Amino acid sequence: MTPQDMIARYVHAVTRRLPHAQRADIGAELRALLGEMLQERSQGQDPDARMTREMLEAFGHPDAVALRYHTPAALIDAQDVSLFRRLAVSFLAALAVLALGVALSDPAAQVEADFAGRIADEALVVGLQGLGLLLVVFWGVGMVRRYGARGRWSASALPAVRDPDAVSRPLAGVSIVFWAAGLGVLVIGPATVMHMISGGAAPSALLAAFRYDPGFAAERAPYLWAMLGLSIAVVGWQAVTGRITPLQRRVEAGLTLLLSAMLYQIVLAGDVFAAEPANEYMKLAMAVFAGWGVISGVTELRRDWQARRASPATGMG
Amino acid sequence: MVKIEDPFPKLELELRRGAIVLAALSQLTQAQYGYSLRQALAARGMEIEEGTLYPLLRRLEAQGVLVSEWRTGEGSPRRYYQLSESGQALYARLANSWQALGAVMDGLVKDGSG
Repeated sequence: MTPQDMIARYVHAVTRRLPHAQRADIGAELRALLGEMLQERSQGQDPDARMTREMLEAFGHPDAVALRYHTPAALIDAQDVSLFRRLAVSFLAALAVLALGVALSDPAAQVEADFAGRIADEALVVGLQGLGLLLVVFWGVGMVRRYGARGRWSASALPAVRDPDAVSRPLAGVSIVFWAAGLGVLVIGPATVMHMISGGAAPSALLAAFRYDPGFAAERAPYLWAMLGLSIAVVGWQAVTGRITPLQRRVEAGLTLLLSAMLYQIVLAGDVFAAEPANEYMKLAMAVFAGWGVISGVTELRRDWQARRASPATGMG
Repeated sequence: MVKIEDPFPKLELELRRGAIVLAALSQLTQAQYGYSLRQALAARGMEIEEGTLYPLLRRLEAQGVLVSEWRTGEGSPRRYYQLSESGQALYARLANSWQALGAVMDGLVKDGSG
């Protein structure tokens, strides 16, 4: 390759990354400048390929040089990257949890040969659509920010700093009552509760739909109720102390992971309700809750580990 | 063990980056093309990479600080740059700022040298 060919290729590699309107002009100038640089380097001799290659490599990678001539607006503004990443990861995690839940709970999985493959394909399509939509939204927000009126802001109007470890006792009380009532319904049995509330007037088909599977009621349910009771007790413990301590956070994360493992085991072990579709929906809810629990528990333990590493008392040695 | 890179080259580059614009403008009271400008700066001890200087001239032109024209008088065509009217006023202001900053920095560096 002749030196002129190499320069022509280099100029092309730079200008093809520039807006069309600037390409010819910048290309002509760059070609002239590189030609003069090469003349200077060769000191009157005929420039060779090695000399030309060294000169171009010293000038810079075509991508980097093109960026110096023209920096295009980013698809996602730098200030939005963190939020975009969090939303994208949360969306994909939620989708994965839901897909796994459907794969574990849908009765069609027993009869359809490639059920898991179909669910994975559908999840992939929805995932790509969601990410595409998210990208368009962030791109639009960036455009509005660049070309629209920049909103005024005031330091005094910034949102208050929220203490992530603070426990609202009234809220904790309400949630304990709510979860305890829910646990009570589960322990007594939804069918029995409906029968009691209706004064014996509930249709027998409805009661049959919400009757526990005997295997679940006898073997797996007691452990689940005990674990749910423990989780409620931890909320009570946090309400008493008024702040979530690192120990409580670790206990809560550990319990959440155990509960998730138990829920997955229950979903895989057999039926929860004796009749469909209540059984399918219950197993789906359990699988989704278990997936959320795995993500939540692992995230909490990771944060705890990072906080301990960053702590001045332990991190700096 | 993590190998820590010598931070000097990066920090020096940062330091020089702020001075490059003013250095280039100082030599553009008369028309220059990219290559002659680089040589003029190098002759005064200010070496600037070509890959940095030439795009900078285009950006300054886009901002209205410089004006340019193609000249084909001798040899191959060359694009010549010169301070625009508003560029001259801007250069005077930047030069004043630089001198004030230089005085402040001299004092600070003397303090730091003990």
